[in-house]
Amino acid sequence: MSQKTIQLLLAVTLAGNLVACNSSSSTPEASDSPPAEATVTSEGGEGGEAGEATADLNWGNQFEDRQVIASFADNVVLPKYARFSTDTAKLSDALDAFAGNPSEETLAAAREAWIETRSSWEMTESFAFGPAGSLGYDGAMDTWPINETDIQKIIESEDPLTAEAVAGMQDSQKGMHAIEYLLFGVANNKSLDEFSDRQRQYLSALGQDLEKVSEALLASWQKGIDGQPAYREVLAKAGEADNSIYPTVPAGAQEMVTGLVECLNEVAVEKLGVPMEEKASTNLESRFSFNTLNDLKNNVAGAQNLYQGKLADASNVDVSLSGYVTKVDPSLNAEIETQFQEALAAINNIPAPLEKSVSDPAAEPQLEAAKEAIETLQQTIEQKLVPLI
Amino acid sequence: MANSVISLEFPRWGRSIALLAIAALLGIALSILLHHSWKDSPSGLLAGGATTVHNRSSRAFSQPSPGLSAEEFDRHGEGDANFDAVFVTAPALVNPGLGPLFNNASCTGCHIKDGRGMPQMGQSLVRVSLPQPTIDPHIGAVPVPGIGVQVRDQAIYGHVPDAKVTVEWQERSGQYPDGTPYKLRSPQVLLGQLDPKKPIPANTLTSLRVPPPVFGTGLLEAIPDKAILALADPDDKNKDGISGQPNFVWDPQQKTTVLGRFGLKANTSSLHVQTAAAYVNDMGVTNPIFPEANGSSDIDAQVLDTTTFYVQTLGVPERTMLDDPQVQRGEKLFTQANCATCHTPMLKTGKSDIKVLANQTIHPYTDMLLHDMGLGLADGRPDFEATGSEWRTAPLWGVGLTQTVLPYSGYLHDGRARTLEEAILWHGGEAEASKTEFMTMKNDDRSALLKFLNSL
Repeated sequence: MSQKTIQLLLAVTLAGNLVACNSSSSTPEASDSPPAEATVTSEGGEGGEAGEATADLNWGNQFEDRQVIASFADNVVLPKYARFSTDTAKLSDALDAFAGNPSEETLAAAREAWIETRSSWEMTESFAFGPAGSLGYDGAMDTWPINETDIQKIIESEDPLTAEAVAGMQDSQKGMHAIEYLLFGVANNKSLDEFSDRQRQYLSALGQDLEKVSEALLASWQKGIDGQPAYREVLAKAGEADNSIYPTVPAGAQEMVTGLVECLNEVAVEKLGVPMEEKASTNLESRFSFNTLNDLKNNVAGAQNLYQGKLADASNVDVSLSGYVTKVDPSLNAEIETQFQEALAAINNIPAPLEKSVSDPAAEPQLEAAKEAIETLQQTIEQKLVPLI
Repeated sequence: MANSVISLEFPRWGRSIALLAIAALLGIALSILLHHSWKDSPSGLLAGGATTVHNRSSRAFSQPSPGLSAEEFDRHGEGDANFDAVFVTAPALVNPGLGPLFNNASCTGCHIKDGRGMPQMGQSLVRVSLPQPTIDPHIGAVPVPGIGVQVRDQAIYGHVPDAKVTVEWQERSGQYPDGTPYKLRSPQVLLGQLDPKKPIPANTLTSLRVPPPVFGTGLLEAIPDKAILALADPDDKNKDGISGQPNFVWDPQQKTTVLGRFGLKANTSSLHVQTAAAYVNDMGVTNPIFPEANGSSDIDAQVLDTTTFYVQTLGVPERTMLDDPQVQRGEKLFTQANCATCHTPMLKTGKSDIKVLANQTIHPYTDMLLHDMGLGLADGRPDFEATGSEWRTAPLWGVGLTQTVLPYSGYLHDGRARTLEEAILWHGGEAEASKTEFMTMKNDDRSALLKFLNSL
């Protein structure tokens, strides 16, 4: 390499560095408006007419009130998981009572307790983030479908049916839907004389296992499991210096609003939309107990709790997403609140049980109306709430 | 390291010129990188080009790419349902076909929220093989008789799993040159025989694997072979101590040897094959690429294609905190420590049947090549042309969201690193010099580099 070449290289290098340094000073300014920049590019993706949900979200990244996030954790997440845990304890007791003393009364009480438990759980769907996935709680409690073939073989076998045995079973052999299957039959039609001793033992063990897992889930949020910090702290401290999970305050609030969007989308598209297209109950999630409509209602009611930062029966909380929106754009808050009520009313209008009405042509208008009302709410949140967060 | 190599190869008079030239080249490289980051910074957000999604939540890896056509979007949704589908023992009304042996009953059971799984049985798996005198170009690894190349530690009722897997963690302490202590843990895998017909040979090689995130892989698939091969330097001709090399693997669909891209040792050619292999090996669900002996299969071509399409069309999360000075400093330190030599910050995709994936400028932070990572990380289990100490550079896009998506999950092939810092400290082999540079940084600089990683 000649000396001339080296000189040339050095000159180019220096010039290059100067240009680079000079220009990089404009970086922070330019990155202030990321969403607009990105939206243009995504639309330039020339994908023809984009399907509705391919539209990317346009977060404002301006949310500053960490208290809203902390208050949500304290006034919604923790009480909901505590309530769920209490309900599983009651269910476990009711299943024990039924196993020990099978009668129409104890069977009805156990079924009632299952529906209560299910309601509590479905209200938590809009905040199904955090430890529930990593620690396997979600799978252990809410796997769908359950493995009917294997469950039958377990019943026919002489394997032990204790809580410990259930804890070691595969997810599709336990949890709420396994209890539902054994307790209600395949179409809410199981009579008292169809229960074998082994089935009642299995039910009792399933109830005890569910109670334990629900306690662990609550503990993971409240105090932390295996030396991990309580997840309540992780979420409530969004934006604090050492928080690598939610490194900014908007990240914490966006977790909440993503939960809203995902939950409503799941109800409209998967839980309602797919069975509506199929005109069959096969893919309705609580079809054994004919309880799916109740599940959907509770999903939306839980989302409403998240938005309002409180349980349904508590008085209004200012430190909430709803309170924040009221300050920034009161008419938007009114719009969202109204659409929540309309969505819930529309679901209520669907003739129960959904397991029957899903294939009933006469119920089609109500089904369509409910799906539309949920989608409208989802769109309002995506288009109008997301830019404020 | 580079200097000592030069002194061996160049006569004394040449050293100063060579050093000058290297200084100049480094300067140019730095300038290009800085210039690049200037040019790119507003769009540095666009980690996945047009597929970038604005989501930094626990659902960040699960978003459909923007810009899909209505038809593609529907297909993506259908694939999403496939990815979530829990398989059960046949006969069943919904999703029959599980097993008889398996690791998990659904895709999402391991790739939780389209990301990683925890380094524990149920969400991870153990690869096995026997030592191989030569590489069989059709298999890549010598199967353990009766078991194969992966331990399926679950079974449907009435069947016996391949083996019982126990993972034990060993911890050791170390310290930075400035005295700051740290702890590192590594797993030891123990296999126990369960099936009388499946003894575990004493010389069985094992490798614990956590499932990697699946988003962005459609873009990695659309990078032209040429672009990846151009980054390779198997004989380290540029004497930087880093010799990335491609893996060449058997493609059961094309029935020929092709460039490997997916899997932690790049042992799989395409997402279609990767998906088919995961169905059959991880879930025991036979499919058109890996059918039953009689040619039938549990899922048909349409299901396999749609699931593959779902994975291909997941968006890549945007970066965060780009205007944070600490993040910006960390990015420079990342480059200075030579991390970016393997964790390539920018690549371009070529043609793709999926429009949104074609001709995108992306920031995956991988060169898609194998590198020797040293004895500390070695699993001693070769796979096609990958040696027992080589691993494919892990993409770093979205790495800052790892524990947002799955709290408590780990990094590296077996999830041993509990933090990004531990992951860096495990780097050895070709990355030894970069790790040493990280370790000798001031505490503030180490924090800045980690914050940069957390912004990805």
